[in-house]
Amino acid sequence: MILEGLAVAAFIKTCCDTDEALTMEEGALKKYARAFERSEEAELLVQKKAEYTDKRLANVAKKKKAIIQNTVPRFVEVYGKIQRIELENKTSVNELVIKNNVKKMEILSEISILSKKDFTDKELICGLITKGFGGMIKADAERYLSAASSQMRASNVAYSQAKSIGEAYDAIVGRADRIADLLMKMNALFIGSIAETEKTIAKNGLDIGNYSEYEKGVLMTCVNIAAAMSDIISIPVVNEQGQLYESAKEMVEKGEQYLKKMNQLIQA
Amino acid sequence: MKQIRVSGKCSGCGLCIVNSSYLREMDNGDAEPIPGKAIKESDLERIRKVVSQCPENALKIIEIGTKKVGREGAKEVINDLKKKCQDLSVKRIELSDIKLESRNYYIPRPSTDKEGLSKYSSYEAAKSAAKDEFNRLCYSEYAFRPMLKKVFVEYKVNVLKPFYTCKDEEGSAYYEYNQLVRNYLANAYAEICELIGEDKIPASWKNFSVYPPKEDWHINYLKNFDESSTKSGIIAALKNLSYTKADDYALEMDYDVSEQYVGEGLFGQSKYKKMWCFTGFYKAADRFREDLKWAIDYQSDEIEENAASSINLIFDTFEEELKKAFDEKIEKLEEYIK
Repeated sequence: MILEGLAVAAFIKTCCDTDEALTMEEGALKKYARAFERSEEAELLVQKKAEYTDKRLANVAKKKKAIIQNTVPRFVEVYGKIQRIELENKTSVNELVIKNNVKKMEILSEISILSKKDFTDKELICGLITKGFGGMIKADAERYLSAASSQMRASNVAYSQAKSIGEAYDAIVGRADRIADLLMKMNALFIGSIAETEKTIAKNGLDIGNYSEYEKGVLMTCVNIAAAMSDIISIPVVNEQGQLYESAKEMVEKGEQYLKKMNQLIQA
Repeated sequence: MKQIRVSGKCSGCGLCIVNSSYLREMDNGDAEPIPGKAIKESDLERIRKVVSQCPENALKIIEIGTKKVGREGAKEVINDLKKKCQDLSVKRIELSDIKLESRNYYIPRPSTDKEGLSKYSSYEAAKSAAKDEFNRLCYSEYAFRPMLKKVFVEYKVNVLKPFYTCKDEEGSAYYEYNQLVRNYLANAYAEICELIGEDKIPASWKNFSVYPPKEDWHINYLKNFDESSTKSGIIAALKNLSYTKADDYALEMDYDVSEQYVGEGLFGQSKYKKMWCFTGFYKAADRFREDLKWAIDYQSDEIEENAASSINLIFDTFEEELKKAFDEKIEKLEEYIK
């Protein structure tokens, strides 16, 4: 329906500029009105799709913000304690995990420091958080903007491209929802793991000798999830031109596999 | 009956949605309670934990509905439904809800390829040609009708569409009332199931859908609202003005004369002929468009009134039907719990 209407619209738009369209007779006028109505309806539907896409992109930004502002600071606090266990006891319980994930932990720490700063929706949707925090703070201006929809609107894409407009919006919404779902579930897993780690540290203190193998595993799992989380927070939906990031698909799949594996482990 | 209430503080983190089947995600990512889902006693402890984990303290377990038990409680639920049905009203529209403002519509400017052609033998001939061209492209019925049609079609689709959309979808003006009654029914169903058991009322009792019939005269009037574009009085209003005769527009254009070589005379001298052309057609066309827009705004009250009276008549019938269907549901419910 949309595409049919938009195709007609392209035709009408051309007609509109010509004298023929302006001097039409009754029958032609009815046809013109019908076709124009379909094009108007198609435009309205595309506009609704754009608004819906905006909402779903903002939803991804919300999920990321929630993790950055609530969960990450909690983890950073726990992570400090885990490091102290390691430092005070020369045996490196978590050495492997921490060594392997040191960069990711740094990113999370930085996010935690910056969590007081409001990330713009654009930063969160386009995944700029992996591209250097300095630049991000400078480029603070464009708020409440989803790169994808603004691109679509601003460029006022021709009707003849209606098919790709519809498909582009659907693809963006599909990807955004998948990422939001992953973020939501990973956040729940992460919070559970942080709570478990806090409990374990509160019970055993900083002496590694007090920890059972299972409890050491709890600590390591938490750091592991944090590392995975760092990757997932950085998954962009679209680039600044409003196009889907191809590489993000792979990252989402990896994240989903990780989540599945973790859930299986928890249930086992 | 216990339910979760989500306050405006919700940040849309989704933690509660992952951990509870009593909440769902809205389009904007925030959580909302699923209508008609009462928290089961066996889930209460888990839900308390979910509520306490909300980082924004946006969740609360609330007790709603009757405090009575068994059939007495069910009767109270029914009485509450009856009151809701009585209070149910469809908000009638004002003219300001369906404004027709010409500035929101684009009327394309006609153009002519005869402009600037020095082919008229006199000023009068050029002026007459300019007037004919203006008439053909702007002033005649065949010319202005598509312009008005475009405005009316746009107005219909962008402003009136919700009122002639009789499908169960968000874009319909009747949808929100259906949703409201569905929520009432869903909550009553959950409450009564809790009070007298789940097997007493079929789940299909909650289904509710009342829309005006597509064949309703007023629905069709709105659906074909653009057909009234020619009877809207806009052109009469335009032509009633003292400066809007076709001649007045023709005078806005410019007329130039030039000498054209037409060959050699009998004794070899060059012969020239004076030829006239008209230019500035766009100025006249622009003024016509502005005048047309003025006429649209001048007549807009009447046009809006026609649409509003039809919409409100549809609302009158719709409200009756809505209440009738709601009443029938309540009667059915009374039968179930007898």
